[in-house]
Amino acid sequence: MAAAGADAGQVAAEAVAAWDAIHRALAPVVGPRGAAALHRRSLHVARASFPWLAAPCDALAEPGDFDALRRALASQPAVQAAAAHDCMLHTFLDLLASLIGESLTTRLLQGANDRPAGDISFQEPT
Amino acid sequence: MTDTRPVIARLGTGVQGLDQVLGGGLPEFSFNVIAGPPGCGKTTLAHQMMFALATPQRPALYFTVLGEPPLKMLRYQQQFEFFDERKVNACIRFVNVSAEAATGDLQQVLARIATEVEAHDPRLVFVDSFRSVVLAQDRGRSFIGLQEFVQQLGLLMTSWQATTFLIGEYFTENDPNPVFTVADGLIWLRQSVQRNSVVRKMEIMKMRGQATLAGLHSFRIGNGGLQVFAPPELQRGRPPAEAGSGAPRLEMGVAGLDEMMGGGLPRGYSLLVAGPTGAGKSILASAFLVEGARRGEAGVIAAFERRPNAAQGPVMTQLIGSGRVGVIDARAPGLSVDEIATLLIAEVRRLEATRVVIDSLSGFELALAPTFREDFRESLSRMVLALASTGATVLMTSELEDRYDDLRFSPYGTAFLTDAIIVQRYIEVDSRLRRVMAVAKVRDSAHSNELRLYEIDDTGIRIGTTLEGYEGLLGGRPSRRDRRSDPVDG
Repeated sequence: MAAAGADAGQVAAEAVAAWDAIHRALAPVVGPRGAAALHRRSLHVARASFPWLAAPCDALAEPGDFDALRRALASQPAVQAAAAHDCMLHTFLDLLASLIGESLTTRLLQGANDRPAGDISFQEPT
Repeated sequence: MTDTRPVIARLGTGVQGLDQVLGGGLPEFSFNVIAGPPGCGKTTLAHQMMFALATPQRPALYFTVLGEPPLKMLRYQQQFEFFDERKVNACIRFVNVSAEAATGDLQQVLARIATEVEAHDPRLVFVDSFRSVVLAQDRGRSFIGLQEFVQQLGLLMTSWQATTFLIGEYFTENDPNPVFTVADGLIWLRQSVQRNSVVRKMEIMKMRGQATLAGLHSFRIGNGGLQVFAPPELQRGRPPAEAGSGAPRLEMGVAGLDEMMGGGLPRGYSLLVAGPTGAGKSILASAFLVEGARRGEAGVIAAFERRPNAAQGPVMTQLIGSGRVGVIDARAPGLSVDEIATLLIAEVRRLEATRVVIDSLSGFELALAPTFREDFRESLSRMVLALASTGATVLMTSELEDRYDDLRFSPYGTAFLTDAIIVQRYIEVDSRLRRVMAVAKVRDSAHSNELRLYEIDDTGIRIGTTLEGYEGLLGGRPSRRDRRSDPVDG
């Protein structure tokens, strides 16, 4: 059980690291609020399949603050957390691509994708 | 003494016609304002220039402030052909400073711009839109005023050797806005509305260090972005001696007409064919182009008649289809004479055409936006001169209401513009409507003074004889002449 809990925590940390990187790549271009609005929309869409995402949805987080999301993901089984994150990420990318095209989306998020997943700055403090 | 004055490099804007209007391009390191009401194409102009100018050696920063959400801007600007997404985040960076602007403190906006400029060392900087900077300042607690903001920004950009653009809205021309004083260049975009026609116009109200083309210049926004229509320039490089009465003559493609003109139409001349509806002006114009094509000369036609393709006949349709005769699309709303002139000259150059037809001036005037009709004569004169300077020979038709009490060639006073005139008329003879034509003028050349009957059939125009034994032909109702009382025959 503890192992499963640790896995969910890890999933949550990785997910938040990914969102953090996306926010860093996108906020300078579209503004922090612009980036946050897209993230919120993804949360809302994913919430339909993962009702436990209600908490981060309702939280009035500042742009770039993913703490509520981290807590929600960490509280779920790892598989569920990963599936929710996956759903959000797909929704987010589809949404952005529908607005500015797949090619420009890839280009704008290149910095986020290039960042190694294990980058120290995205590690959870132990 | 050696000249130690700084040399101002001029940047090609990538906007068709704009460099000409600017007087040779955009001065490097200049501080420019692009002003105008919403929807007039300011952001598009800025993007078009940025995508044309930005290179790895000349990177660009595009600051978006509070106005149009950047996502939407990127969405819409991508629809233009100039938007090269490979340049984004490579040599073009978009930077949103809405968070700083939202504080209402212009110093914060300036500080953020300075930080980004220091980080990326751009050669081109755009701030879109300036209006939101002004609004942000209006809201609040700014420690510096607008004028100071602009001055500091100008200073910063000049010392960073960045050519800068402020994109603004809602400026009024009469308002002595401090921004205008600081700016080196002021590009004003307008939408002129007259009746139900809307025409986009651009004016360079200021551009330090160079002579711009004064006046309002119409422009269009298409898939390729903006295209500015500057007044047609006289073309250089063609020996003028080649044109004129001593020049080789062009065959008209109608048997007998060349003889009437004293051996054809001198190359480089402009010819006006004036006549009433149905007299065969378009047929004559087509024959002129077909004859050119037969001799291996390319032609260009601007057809303003209602159904251009149907009116030209199968041979012309074939020539157009095979690309030997270029067609100017004259159906766009809100046309200006300068636009048609620009298109015609570009097509003449592309095809190395020697024959140009404008069919007809009456249709041309109707196709113009109302705002341009008043200046039709002046603009037309400029266009004819510019076309002549390409070395091409121009044939224009003009619809002429049949008036039998006077001999007029065109309702626009355009007759004086042209080097040669052919006039067509209807006359009534023995209860039949017959057509006659005459060569009224071929500058510096002898020509026939006969009024010749002609017919139009499937093969085109067939010129016949003079109508012997009649007088008063131009009155429309000729009468038989009494030979005994006529001392001169002919």
